[in-house]
This record gives sequence, structure tokens and C-alpha cells, in this order.
Amino acid sequence: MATFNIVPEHNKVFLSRDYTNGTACRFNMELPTELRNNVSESQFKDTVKHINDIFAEAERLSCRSYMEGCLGCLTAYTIFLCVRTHYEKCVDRVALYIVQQNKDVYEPLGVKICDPMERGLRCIEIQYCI
Amino acid sequence: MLVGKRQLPFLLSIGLLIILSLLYFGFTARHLIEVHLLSGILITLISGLLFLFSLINFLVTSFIDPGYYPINTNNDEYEVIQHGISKSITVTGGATFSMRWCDECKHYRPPRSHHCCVCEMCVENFDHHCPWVDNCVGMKNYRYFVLFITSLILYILFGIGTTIAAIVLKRDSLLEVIVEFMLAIILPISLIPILALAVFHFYLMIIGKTTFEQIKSEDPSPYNKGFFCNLYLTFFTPAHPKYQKFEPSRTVRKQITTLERDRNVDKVPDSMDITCGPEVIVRVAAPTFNYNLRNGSYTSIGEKMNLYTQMNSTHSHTDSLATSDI
Repeated sequence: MATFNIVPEHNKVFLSRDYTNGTACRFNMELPTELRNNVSESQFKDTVKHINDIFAEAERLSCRSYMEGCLGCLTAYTIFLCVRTHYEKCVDRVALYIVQQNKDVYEPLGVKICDPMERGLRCIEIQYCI
Repeated sequence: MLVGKRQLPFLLSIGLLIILSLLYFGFTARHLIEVHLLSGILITLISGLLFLFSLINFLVTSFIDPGYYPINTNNDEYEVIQHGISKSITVTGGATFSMRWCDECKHYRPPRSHHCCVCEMCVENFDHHCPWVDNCVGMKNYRYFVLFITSLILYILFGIGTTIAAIVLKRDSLLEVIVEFMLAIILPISLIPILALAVFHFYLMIIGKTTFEQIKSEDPSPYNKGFFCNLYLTFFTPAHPKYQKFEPSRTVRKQITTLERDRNVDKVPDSMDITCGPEVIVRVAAPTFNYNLRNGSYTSIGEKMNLYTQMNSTHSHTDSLATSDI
């Protein structure tokens, strides 16, 4: 009786940033060719769109960002040490959303999306099994 | 912070700021209070606020994370075949930009970023490395840098004005005369380079470029959005949180752990044995993340192997399949 051990390799694919609308944080919504077998295009698009929407909300110039800037200045920026900014809250939401999506949708398909903050919002790492 | 040769300009600048301020408050301001109590106190208050504001902005500029991109320790992003050393992408207005591979940080440098050779990190929206604040000036601290130089200019101008007023007014002690004359000479001299720097940075804000981009090329920047918008963006755009050692808030961390615990309840086994033919067992280890073996490709691996062993019924072929195909 012979036994062979196989450790499946994790392939990685990187979802790059979309800079066509400036340097605001946005990711390409195109499904990478490597994932065609595992994930449906519309499902993937929905997920990335949701992530992009959260970042768009985070980067939107609003009364809130203005107030945050002014308040920070008035309190000698000490407020940022104890209160999380709107952007940080949005990044938290993205992290939570990705974990949820992984659990519900992607991991059963052999795909795992990683938190973009790990790579400084430059790209999203996606691991998949062949 | 380790004090070395690199920190000398920083210590010099902060020392100069504090020593000159002490002399100013100790002599000029005190002299003016003695001459006229109310206006003297008002002057001291205004200059004190300007001093505090510039000092705080100075410290924030030098100790905040300017927007360092984390170094990719896995080194797994290099795309040899598709992109190689530079990766072409489309940016605003349909212009193409080639993202250069950073050999130190192991990633493609995003637009507007640059590798700082002093900090040894790539910095988002790199402006310049300022030895006087001993930090890079980039995405996250550019606003504080501009606020620092602006408030410093106002502070120095205010200081020059009041010092001259104090000199004109009558005084008693010789020491006061010497110090006030010294201040009246040193302050205008120190004002000149700072004023030039401020004019340069306001010009850059008008044309929507960073210092680095301006030095590199004279072409207009595709990221320019007009003077007022640039100015507003500089001060009020919500900056990304620091990328290094970023941690989600405690509640979110808790929620994530709960989700992961739920997931582990029906966790798949660590490995799965697939019998291929009568004498061969292939033990496939589960990936580090949860992967549903029932409808995943593990079944297909088994089917493939069965087929293969049935066709060949030799161990050597299975061996080569196990190592090469999967």
C-alpha cells in the first residue's frame, strides 16, 4: 500500500486598483480569468461593487469630513487618538463584509478574498484552489 | 526614536523654534506687557496661540505615518510574463501610466507614489523627504506640513512686527536691547527660506502637483482639479488610515472572530484520503482556509486519479501525477 501526500497549492490572483477616475480608492470589477471556473461573473461584480461603494462613501467630500478636519485641528489632533475616523470605520466595514462574503459565498467555491488593507489598498489578494 | 546623524536637522529646527520663542516671550512680550498691560497681554496671547499651532503641526508632521505602503514580504506580486518591470495602466483622463516595480518593497508602485531612500519605504502621494521634520511628506501629513509653514510664517511676521515695536518703545535694561535687536535680525533671516518654501507649495497646490512630480517633469498633472478644489482636497480630503499595523476596531474584530468560529463548527477534515486503485492512497491535505470538499474539486482529483490508475495501473505514473498535475 503506497500513500502519497498532496498539499494543494494556493494560487493567488491580484485584483488591481482602478485609477481611471483619479486616485480615489476603487478596484477593477472585472473577474480575473483564473477565477472563471470557480466564481460567476455577476456574483463577483456585486461583491467588488459593494466594496467600491463603501470606499466611495469613505472618500466622499462631505460635511462630515470637513467637520472631522476642523475638530481634529481644534483639539490639536488628539481626537484622532481616541475616536475612529469615518474612513477607518469604512475600512472596518469592508473587512467585515469580506469575511462574511468569504464564509457565505466564496470559500465553498474554493476562493478566499483577503482584506485589501494588508496590501495598503494597492490591490486585493484573492486565493483560490485549482 | 534613535538620535543619530539623521535627526540633527530635526533637533536643530525644533531647538531653534523653542529657543527663539523663549527669547521672544521672555523679553519682547514681557517688555510690551510692562509698557501697556492690556495690549501686551493680547499680543502675548496671539503669538502664544500661533506658536502652539505651529509647534503642534510640526510635531504631527514629523511623527505621523506619511502614507507608507507596507513592504510585501511574500514577494508574490511580480508578473513576469504579463508586465515585467513596469506595468501599464490607465489613469484619469485616459492617460497611461507605467507603474514601476519596486525592488525594495516588492510591489508595483502606484501612481503618485515614490520610494523614499531615507525611510526605505514607498510613500503614497510622495511630496518630498523633509530632513527638518525628519519624515517624508506625503498623503497623510502634507496638510499638516502646509499648516505648519503657513502658521510659522504668520508667527514670525507677528514676532518681527512686535519686536520692532518693542525696540521703538523706551526700555531700561541693556540685555533687553541686545536680545530684541538679535531677534529683529534673526527672525527676518529665518523668514526668507520659509517664505520661499510656502510660495512654492502654494504654487504646487494651484497646479495640483507634488514637489516630486514638479521636479521630475514640467508637464501638467492629470490629477489637477483646479485651485480651490486642490486647496480643499489638500486640507479636507479624508486621508486613508495608516496601512502599517492597522487594526479593525474592537467590535469589528469581535464580529470577525464570531464569524470565523461559526465557520469552524462544520470545518472540513484536515486531510482526505482518496483511494486510487487497489494499492494507492492519495492523502490530500485541506487548504488553510475552509473549502467544501463535497462539491469542490477534490472529488474531481479523485476521479481523475482513479481514471489514471485504471488506465495505467502502475504506481510510478500515479507518483508523477501526484507531484506534477496537482
